[in-house]
Formats: sequence, structure tokens, C-alpha cells
Amino acid sequence: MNFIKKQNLKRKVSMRSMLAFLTVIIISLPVTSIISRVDFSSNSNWEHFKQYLLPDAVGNTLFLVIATLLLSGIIGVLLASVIALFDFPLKRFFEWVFYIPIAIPPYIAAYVYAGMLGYTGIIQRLCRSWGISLSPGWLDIMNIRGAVFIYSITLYPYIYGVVKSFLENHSGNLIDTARVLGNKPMKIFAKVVLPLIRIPLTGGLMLVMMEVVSDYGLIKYFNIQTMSSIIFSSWFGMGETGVSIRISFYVMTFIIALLVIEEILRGRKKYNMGSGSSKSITSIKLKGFKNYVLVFFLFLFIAVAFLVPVSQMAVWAILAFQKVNLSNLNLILFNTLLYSTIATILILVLNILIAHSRRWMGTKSGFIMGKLTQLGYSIPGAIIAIGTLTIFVAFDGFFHPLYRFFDPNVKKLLLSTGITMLVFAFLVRYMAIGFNSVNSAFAKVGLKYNEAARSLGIGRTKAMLKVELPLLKNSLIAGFILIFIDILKELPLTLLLRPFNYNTLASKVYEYANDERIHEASVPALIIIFLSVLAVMLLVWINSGKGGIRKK
Amino acid sequence: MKFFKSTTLITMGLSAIILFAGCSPASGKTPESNSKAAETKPEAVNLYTDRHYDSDDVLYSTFSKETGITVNIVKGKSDELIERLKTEGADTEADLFITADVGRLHRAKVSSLLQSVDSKILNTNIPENLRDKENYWFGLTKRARVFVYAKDRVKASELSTYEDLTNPRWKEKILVRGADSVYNQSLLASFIETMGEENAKKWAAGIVANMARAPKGGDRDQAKAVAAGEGDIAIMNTYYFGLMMNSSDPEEKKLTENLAIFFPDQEGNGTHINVSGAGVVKSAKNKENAIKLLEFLAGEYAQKSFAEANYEYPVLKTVDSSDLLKSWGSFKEQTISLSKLGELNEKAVIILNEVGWK
Repeated sequence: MNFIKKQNLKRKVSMRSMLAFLTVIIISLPVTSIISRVDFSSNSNWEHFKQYLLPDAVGNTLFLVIATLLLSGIIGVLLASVIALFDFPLKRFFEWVFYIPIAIPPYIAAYVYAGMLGYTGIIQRLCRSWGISLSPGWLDIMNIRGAVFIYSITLYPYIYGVVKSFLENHSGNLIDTARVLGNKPMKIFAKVVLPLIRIPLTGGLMLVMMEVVSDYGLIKYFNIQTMSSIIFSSWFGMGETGVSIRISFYVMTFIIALLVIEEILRGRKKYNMGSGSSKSITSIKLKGFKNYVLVFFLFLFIAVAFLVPVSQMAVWAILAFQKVNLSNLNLILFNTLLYSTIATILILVLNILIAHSRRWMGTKSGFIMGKLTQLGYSIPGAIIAIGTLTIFVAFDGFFHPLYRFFDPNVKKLLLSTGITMLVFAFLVRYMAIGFNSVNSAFAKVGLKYNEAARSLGIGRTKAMLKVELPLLKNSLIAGFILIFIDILKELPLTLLLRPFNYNTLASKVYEYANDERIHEASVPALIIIFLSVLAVMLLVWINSGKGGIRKK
Repeated sequence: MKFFKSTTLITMGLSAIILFAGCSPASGKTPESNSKAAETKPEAVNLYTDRHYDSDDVLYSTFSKETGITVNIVKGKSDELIERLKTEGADTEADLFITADVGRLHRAKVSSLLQSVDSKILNTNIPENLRDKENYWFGLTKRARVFVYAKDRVKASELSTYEDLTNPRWKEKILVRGADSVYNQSLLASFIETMGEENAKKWAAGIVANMARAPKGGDRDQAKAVAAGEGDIAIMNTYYFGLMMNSSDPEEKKLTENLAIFFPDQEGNGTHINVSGAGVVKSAKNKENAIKLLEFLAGEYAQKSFAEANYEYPVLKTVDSSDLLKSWGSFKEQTISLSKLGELNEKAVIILNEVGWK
């Protein structure tokens, strides 16, 4: 009897795992097609880039990545801890508004800050009218330090989101215990919080790193030579993708190596919840003076990261409103929202499937699967887009006879001229973000709920759906917000893969910004931000309305 | 058993979502295009374009109204669109490729993505040096790469040629954007053609030596830096200066009052120009319509619109440039064949890197 049951279980596990594996393999096809095009022969272009551009690019990229990780990591963890550990006025407002800056694409933030601090910007203008003379370059943000600043204030939510929901959901017991034992907040932070959040923190940092490494918009505007700028300047300048693909490959290899090292360092330390319930954290009420200081600093931060640049954009939008063509806005909104939502849901569902099945796999296969889903995020979107296009055109070529079976007049490029290709590319690119939210949550919950539920006679998947998902709700919501906003502002994939007459808000922003018309670009950019705020508010509402495991 | 059910359920749910995402647009499209095909075979022309101007969209809809031909558009970056054309191969749906730089047109031609077009209208409307020798592509609008200088610090009489900017007296006075700007690449490519590779390299090195700051920002930012006193002379496109003079930001408008445009090389080879242009895609399914659209864009109505709405110089000689452009005066243009710019673009990039133009 026992034996039969075991056999039975094993068979089912492998079915689910097969499904997960199939997903991962399909998702990594575009990257595979890029890798298959890597050419290591040392042609003259490669030698040229190696000699003149590579040294600078490597140095700048490393500086950008390390400095941005430090700054955004500090911001993200501090904000998340403050929100999770303390209770203070306007906490609910801050809790959700801290997500929003991610809705501002880094290159737009760069244009806005450069505009504000530049000669025609508000600050220099005021100084001139007051007769204060500033030496040119004093307010200059268009340099590598400025880039770190812009990346940090726009990308920290990747860290904030996962760390916060992780702390709230899963650390209650430990932190409460530490408090009962009389530890000071700083000590709790160093000894309990930091070790606890290692998994989500490294995950978030990896996302920030990949975003910085693959970004092109900001560094082009600031004219900083990085790996990503070589990828594009060799492609655009020389008109061939050889060097670009090769460098993308190196960058990807580097990132995978880091991911592997991270996994090894984390090693056998698997945190399962110590005791029965995952109690949510009890936040401490701050009193008097401390309240005001904290709220002041939080407000200052959100002003710098969000309110000031957005107000500036609003001013510009009003100035330029009449010059902006908003015909078809309904259709653009519909496109943007529909496909962002579809892709986000798909990404979450697939990631849950993967994270869920991974738990019963051998360490190696589970590990490989986890890493494979992240590939798409580690190289510039435009390169991923080429890989996706190649796969879809090949697929269409292969299945054309089948299409014709249903409709003799069907065109050959059926899928590769439709929106399917774009949605698929979203999956390829943003699986990593979903993976981070979902996986860190699953890793924390461990297996024991599932096993407990199964001992009551329900299957693993059902146990996951009924018992674990509700527990993970906060993490999933955080994941949803991040992915959704990310796709809302997505640009390189849309630009390269969109079907005819398909426009999104982000492509509108690009069309103006590319023409150095940042005033006009502010209008669609503000709509993106507005939608992101709406999305966050909607999720807050869902979250509090249905009760669930939300605290008090 | 129960377990099996829930797995199946998830699988089914998943496939349903995938199918929805996958098929809804495709299936939504197929009947539409079929019904269209069943009717009088709708006339259409499909564009891949790197020009993102609202005024262009207005032109296309005018074209549709006049001819009944629907214009379908994919906007993207030119190099990425070229890559897309390459990957889609003979099956591509694109009929016309439009871009804002002649180097890319040439690259599309060399990658055998375009085809030669024989049209009387195009041949008469577009001067010979502004189109491909074998008529694979046609220039539609011109932009000049000029100097913008601070009136209070520089006199027009002090300015002469591009080469003069390498003179040590302009040390730390020159503002220009980075090496990855395609306009800088084509400017240098034109010098490789007119003065030879050695001298062109000397010129680039001389500019690097005279730069007021490490290159950054766009063309507008160079003009702003001149206004701010970081340097005295910016190398930029007329187009962007036009945009600034009509900016929605009053401060930007005001700033242009202290600046002036100078057309260099009037005694010599003439001011450097680049073009926006278009070519018919090799495997175009709607070749006739693509040519019609091209002819429309080279015609008087569209040329006027380019000049009025977009501060670009028309290629059609009978059309006047806008009042603003006229106020800057007429000027002598480089007369080298623009095909050359495309051929020499790669060499220009290599030189820019070699002389350390960031």
C-alpha cells in the first residue's frame, strides 16, 4: 500500500516537473538562438573594440553596477525595514508610494533631472534671477555619478518590494523574539533582519544589476561608455551584430557566474519557518519627535525620487500639451493595459509553477531551472528581441504547411507579425522579476505547510493552491506590481517586435524623447506613472478589502 | 487521484491563458484581413520607419485620403528595423523603409534589403546627389550640421570652416555630442571623402583637443551649454535649433536669442548635410503603392509640410523652406554623393574611437 502510494506520487511529480521544464526551455529559446550566433573568431571589428572601447567600458560598467547596488540596496532595505518594523503617521501612504518610482524609466528620469539642473532648468533660472552665479558644471548630473543616482532612485523598488513583503510575512516570530529579549533596533537590524532578508535582497540586487547592465537609454544620453553602449555602438555604427552578440554573451556569462556564486554562498542554509504560524510582524509605534524626523526623511526621499521629477514633468506637460498628438489614445491605453496584464499574469502563473515544482527536484535540476528563467533579463532587450524574432520566423516557416491546412491563403509570417510574439518576448524578459518575488517567498515558506496539508490527504499542487498561495499573497502582489509596471514602461522589445500600427504609451514617450522633445514626452510618461499609481492603489484596495493575512 | 486533478486543472488553465494570449490577436486579425481580402482587395502600403514625427502621421493620413491606400506603420530604430527586415527575409510585410540617416539607407541597400525604383517623378524632384546612384533610396528632407555660437563672445567673422575649429585658439570652446551620434559619424564620413582619411583623422583629433567638456547629451544640450558659457561654439543640426526656437519652454526660446547660426565652409566644400530618406523593400508585396507613397512624399504638398512643420529643408527645389529657415539665409551645401556617407560610416566610427572622441 505504502509502496504503491510512493510510486504514484513519483509519477505525478515528474509530470508537473516536465511541464515546468518545458516552460523554461521554451522561454530560453530566444537566448539560445542568440548564443548559437556567437562568433569567437577575432575579426578586425572585434580587435578594434577590444583595443579602444573595452577597457573603459568594463571599468565604467563595474563602477556603475557596484555603486548602484550599494546605493539602491541601502535605500531599498532601509525603506523596507522602516515600513515593516515601525508604525508612524502616513505609513500606509509611504508603504505604497515607495513602489511608484519604478514607473519612471531611468532615461526619462535622466532627461528630467538634466533638464531641471541644466541651464534652462528651474534651479539655475532662479539663481540667475537672484543674481547668484553658478559655475557651469557645478550642478552637472550628466556624468557617471549622476547615472548612479538616477539608477538608484528609479530601481530601488525592486529591492524594497521583495524585502518588505518578506519581512512582513515571514519574520514576525524572530523579530518579536529578539525584541522580547531586549535587543536594540540597530542590533535587531544587524543580527536578525539582515541575515533574514539575504535571499530576497540578493534577488533584488541581481535584478537591479541586470537592469543597469542592460540599460542603454540613460548611458547614451549621458554618453557613458559601458558594455551596453559597446553592444549598441558596434551594432549601430558598424551595422553588424557580431561584436554585439559576442559582448552580450560575455555579459550574460558573467551574470550567470554571479548567480551561481550567490547560490553556492547561500549554500545549504535553507530557512524554513521555525514554528507553526508565520506570524506577521508587530510594528512598533514611534512617538513624538522621532515620528516627525522619520516622516520628514521619508518625505524628503520620495520628493527627490518622485514628487519633484513628476511635478517638473507635469509643468512641462502643461506647456507642451497642445503639441502632443493624443489621437488614438484610447487604443493605445487599451493595448498597453491589456497586454501588460496578460503578460504579468502569465509570468506569475508560470513562475509559481516553476517555483512550486522546483522544491521537489534534485538540487541541480532545480537550480538550473531557476537560473535559466533569468537569462532573458541579463542582456539588452533589443538583443532578446532579435532572438525572439529569429525563433518566431523559424517557427512560422516550419509550421506554415500546418497553417495552410486550416486556411490556404494564410500568410507565412503569421505569429511573427502578430502580438503573440511581443507577449512571448515579455515573458522571456520579465520571468526573472517574477521569479525573484515568487521564489524568495516559496523558499521562505519551505515545505512544511505543503507536507502538513498533504498529510491531511490533499495533493501537492492543491496544497500549494489552498494553503501556500494565500500565505504568499503579499509577495505575489508585490511581484505583480513590479512586473506590471515594468511591462507598462517596456520599450526595446516593443520597438523591435510590434506589429503594424501598434503603439504603447512607452513607445509614444520614446518617439518624443528620441527627438529631444522631453516636454512633449512628459505627457505620455505622466500617463504611465498615473496608471502605475492606479495599479498600486487597486492592489492596496484588493489587499485590504478581502482581509486575508494582512495585519490589523 | 485528487492530486492528479489539480495538476490537470493548472495545466488546462495555463494552456487556456497561453492560447488566449497567443490566439486572440492572431485570430482577431485573420478574419479581418481575410474579409478585407475577400472584398475589393484593400490597397495598403506597409512602412518600417525611423521617423517619429506627428507631422509625418498627418502626411500619411492625407495620402490615405487622397489615394484610398491604407498606410500601416511600424516605428522603430533604424538599425533594429534593418535587423528585422533581414530576419523576416523574403516574407516580410514591409514595403517601404524610411530612416533619418543616409548611412542606414546605404546599409539597407548593401544588405540587399532594398530594390531599385524607376520613377520619373522621383528622378526629377530629387537632385541626383541626394539619391542613390542606382535609385535604391531617395532623400526626402535635408538637415545641415552647422555651428551655433554665442553672439556676445564670438563674431561671425571669426568663423569660417569646420577645420578652423581645430585651431588652438578654440581650445576648450567647442561643444559637440558623443561619437555614437550618427550625425557626427556622417559629418566625419563626409570629411573622409573630401579631405582624405589622414586629414579627417587630424580634424577629429583636433576637435577632441578643443572640446569644452567631455561630450554628453543631445544636440539641444550643446546649445544650452553655449548659452551657459561652458563653451563658445556648438556643432549641431539646424533641425534641433529650429525646435529650440519654437520650444514650448519659454526659457529655451529666450536662450536662443543670444545664439546665432553659422553655416561653415561656404568658401570651400559647403556645409555638411544629411538626409531623411526612403527605399522600397526588396520583397515588397505592394511595390506600386510604396512608389506612390514615395512620390507623394517627394511631391510639393509633403515637401512643404516637412519644411513648415519640422524645420527640415525640402529636397524639392520649387518648394521654399519655412520662414524661420529662410531667416537663417541660404547656404552652399556639400555636393558629395550621399552614398559615400553610407560607405564611409564604418571608417568614421573607427576614427572617432581611435582619436578618443568619447
